[in-house]
Amino acid sequence: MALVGRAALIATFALVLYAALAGTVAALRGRRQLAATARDALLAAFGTTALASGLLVVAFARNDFSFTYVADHSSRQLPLAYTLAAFWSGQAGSLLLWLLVLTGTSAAAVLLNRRLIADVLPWTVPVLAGVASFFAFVPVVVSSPFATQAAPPNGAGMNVSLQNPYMLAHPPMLYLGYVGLTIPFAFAMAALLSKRTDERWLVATRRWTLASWTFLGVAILIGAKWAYETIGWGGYYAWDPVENAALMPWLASTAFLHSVMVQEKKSMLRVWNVVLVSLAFCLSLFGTFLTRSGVVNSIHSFSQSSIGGWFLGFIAVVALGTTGLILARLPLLRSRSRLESLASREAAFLYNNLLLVAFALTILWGVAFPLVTQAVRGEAITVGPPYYNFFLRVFGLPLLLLMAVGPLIAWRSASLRSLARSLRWPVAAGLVAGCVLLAGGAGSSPPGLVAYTFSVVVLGAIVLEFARGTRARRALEGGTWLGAFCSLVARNRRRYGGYIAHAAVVLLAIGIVGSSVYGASATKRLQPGQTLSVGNYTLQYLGTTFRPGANHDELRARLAVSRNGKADGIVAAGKNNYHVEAFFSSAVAIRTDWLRAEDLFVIGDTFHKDGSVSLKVVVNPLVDLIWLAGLVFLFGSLVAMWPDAREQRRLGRRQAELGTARSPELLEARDQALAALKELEFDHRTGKVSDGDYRTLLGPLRRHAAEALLALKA
Amino acid sequence: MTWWRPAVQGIAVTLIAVLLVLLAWRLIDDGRGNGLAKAVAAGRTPVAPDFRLPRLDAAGTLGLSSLRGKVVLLNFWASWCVPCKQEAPRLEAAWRRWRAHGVVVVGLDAQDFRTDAGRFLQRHGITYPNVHDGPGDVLGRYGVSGFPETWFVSRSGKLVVEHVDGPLTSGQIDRDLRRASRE
Amino acid sequence: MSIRRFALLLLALVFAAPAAASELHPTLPELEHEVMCPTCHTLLELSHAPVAERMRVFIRARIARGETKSEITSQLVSEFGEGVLAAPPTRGFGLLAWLLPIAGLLAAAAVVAIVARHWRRLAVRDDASGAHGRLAPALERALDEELARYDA
Repeated sequence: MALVGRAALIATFALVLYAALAGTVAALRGRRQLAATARDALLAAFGTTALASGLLVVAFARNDFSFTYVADHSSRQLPLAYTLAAFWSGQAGSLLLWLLVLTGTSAAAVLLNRRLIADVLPWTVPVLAGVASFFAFVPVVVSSPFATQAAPPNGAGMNVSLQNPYMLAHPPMLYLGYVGLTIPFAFAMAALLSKRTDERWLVATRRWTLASWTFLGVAILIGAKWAYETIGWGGYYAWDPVENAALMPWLASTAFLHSVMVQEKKSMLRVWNVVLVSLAFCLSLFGTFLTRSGVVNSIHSFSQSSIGGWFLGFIAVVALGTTGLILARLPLLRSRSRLESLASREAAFLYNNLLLVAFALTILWGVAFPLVTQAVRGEAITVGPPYYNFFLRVFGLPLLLLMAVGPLIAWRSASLRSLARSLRWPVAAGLVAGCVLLAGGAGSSPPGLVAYTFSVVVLGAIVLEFARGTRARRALEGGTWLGAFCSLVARNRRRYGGYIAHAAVVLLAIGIVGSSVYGASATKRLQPGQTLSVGNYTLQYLGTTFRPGANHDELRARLAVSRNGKADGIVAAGKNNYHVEAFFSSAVAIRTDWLRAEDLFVIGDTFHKDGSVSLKVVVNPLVDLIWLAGLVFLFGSLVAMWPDAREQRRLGRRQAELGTARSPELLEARDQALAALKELEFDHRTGKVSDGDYRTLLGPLRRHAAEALLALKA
Repeated sequence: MTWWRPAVQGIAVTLIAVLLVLLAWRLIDDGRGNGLAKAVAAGRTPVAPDFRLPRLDAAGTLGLSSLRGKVVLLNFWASWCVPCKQEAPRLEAAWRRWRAHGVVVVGLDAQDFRTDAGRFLQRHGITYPNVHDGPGDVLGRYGVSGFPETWFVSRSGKLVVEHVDGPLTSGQIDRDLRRASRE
Repeated sequence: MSIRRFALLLLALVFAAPAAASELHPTLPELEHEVMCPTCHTLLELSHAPVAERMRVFIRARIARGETKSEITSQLVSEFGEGVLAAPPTRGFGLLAWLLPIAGLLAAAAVVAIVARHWRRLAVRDDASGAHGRLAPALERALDEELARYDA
């Protein structure tokens, strides 16, 4: 069976290598037949990778310890769900999963976009296949999941801290996110290579970018939840290099998602968008490299293996190749950029991009700095949480503020007066909230107070946007408020889905601020009967219990909780002793108060021989908003991603006209101009654009649109 | 009007290149420490990375290179390491047995408080020279990832034997010192 | 209040952390946030390694003796090297870690400002070159038709 697996992987490697080489030749020489075979090879590679993965799953399910990888990561005692998840608990399996996701998404992207962007596709295939070649090369040559040995009676078991439901979900989500970024990258590169640098590659990959961004975001949150429950120190994010590895591409793709709108609306930032999508992709590769190579000190000390050099070489090829290609195609990307005003939606996107990318690169700098000091001075300087928290404030607070202002500014040009009028209510709400919080004692942390005030302003702005939009829709269409609301969202899913995602970010901010600056903690050694007080909580130590379990024993300290003097049940915190893995893990008690979104977090640190126990108790206010934010974020992304029939019709029409039109750019210019007019009209109705601004903007826009029509007819 | 473009491009390319070079350097550097163990296991005798560190048991510093001409048993330890406690008396006994035969036992205490280490030396009656490496800078150069770990260095300053798993027994010490003396 | 003054006030609020009190009377949790565990490369707060427990004992003893935060951290640095601090020091080489992102942001902002000015100038030129007469009625009609079709 291992032989078949190895053969399947070699076949995958051969197929993607063929797709890369033949695809390149086909694209260079314009050979259709050859391009088709390259594409089919890429599709077939998914089949062979799926076969290899299936075999590995079967090997895990059957506890076939003649597979070295299975024996190293599973055991007979491991529950079935974890046995299957052990697939990605080691390096070779992780990379196989990566390859599977990569070939799968590549096949889907190529199939789904074969009509929309047919003239770019011949280059997309070799780019995707080139990336896949590397990821197929590694399991074939460097680290194979199909190595065999004489089967030992039992496996070594799974890393205990990975035996958690969130760890079932985290790695696949993360990989979907990382790998998903390959798709927009490949289309961007293909657009450059084929010199078709119109806006279609953005349209074709928008949902892919959105999806991988969503997966990355959710994966980060699931990882945080896992750290919160499993590592058990009362926090959820430690700014560890491996955690940062996922955050950096997420930030870069967040910037990208915003700046593509500027390109779609105004054909601006064309170079920048290609740079951003490449940056996001390179950061996702870099993230995997960090995770797998062990060049930086991290809690996630995965196997330190020989894979680092290969990976670095690949990153170097991608980074330098991409840079060279972008520089070579700069003349094609020269945009017809015009910026009417520094107070406009597009300008707000510029500021947003500036901050997001600066933050991503600051994190990169923080990850690299210990290496720099080691190279220069021979001694590593640590860059840890206090550093990142500082810059989170430096970049995060202005970003929050922008989130309030950006949606309320109109495209092209907004008079400050109409902006001030729009912002009136959100700012008032924010100030009121700020004062109330200040009176409530939130002034103990000024950054926290500022963040909360900004958060309320953002929420106010979002509510205002929904309210004004619904009112304008209702005025246009009549009907019920609910109908108008649904029509509003349906007509611009992306915008309103985006606002929901903004709301999620605000929830996240509130949760992070609440739990990191307004929490309380205490440590104490308690004899049975003694009590410990933290915040409003008092805990009384009742005694210790011991319970043997299937693959582990449980040692627990039982504590009676009371809140404000009222008895509030019993919690049990302690340790698990895993037999096969010979490992103690801490099993914290988390008591969630959903109404206050507050957690009581109890850690049973040390169980002493005299029956006493050393406890650490943390109160995390509002921390549960972080997990709620994850759900809201997911919902918002889904709204934004949902297929849009109107958009499909429009694209279909454009596609149909492509045969008769002189160039795709002219069609695009027309649609852009029409969309701009539509949006201006609606913004005027909602009150975002004042009458005066409307009159100034309308004339030039109509002229511009008319010119676009004339150019098409000519 | 576009004077800034080449500047921005140049800076971007330079930064990417610097980052890549840095990572490559780190990978190679990392590989060097881990490579020593592989080399010794394969029967080669790479040069022992030199260090000069403050002494725990006396004033001044001690450098490995100053012990050229003697066989060195280099023991990495820390006061909080449990197996190190079992090992310490055996190392002390070996030191007494072998010091007349051109052998030096050197303890390298790392990632540890000096006072804790001093107390450890006193409690176990250690008389062989000990140095302190608080940050653990030397660990990486030898590829040490846990305590205790012991390297045997020949008279010419070459690494001969590495021992990683658990505390050394007196028999192992004698055997490996004899091997190191023959090199 | 001008925007600039408002921004300055905000900055002052954000960064003037209540540092003085914690410098004179540090607590263990505070120091656990600023110091790393040397063997596990995490904040001391997260670590249960033996050396981490020793560090806690060390810090508690020094707090009990009434030492200030910087006294305690500098002793830890002399034991474990600068790497024991969770953030780079704000002097010497470590300052580079803090300044580069700020400098980078300012430089990027400058580039954006230059680019934006360039684009605005182009926009103004477009405006000036564009004829400001009315569109032909036929063209107006065609445009309205297209607009109606666009939303269908």
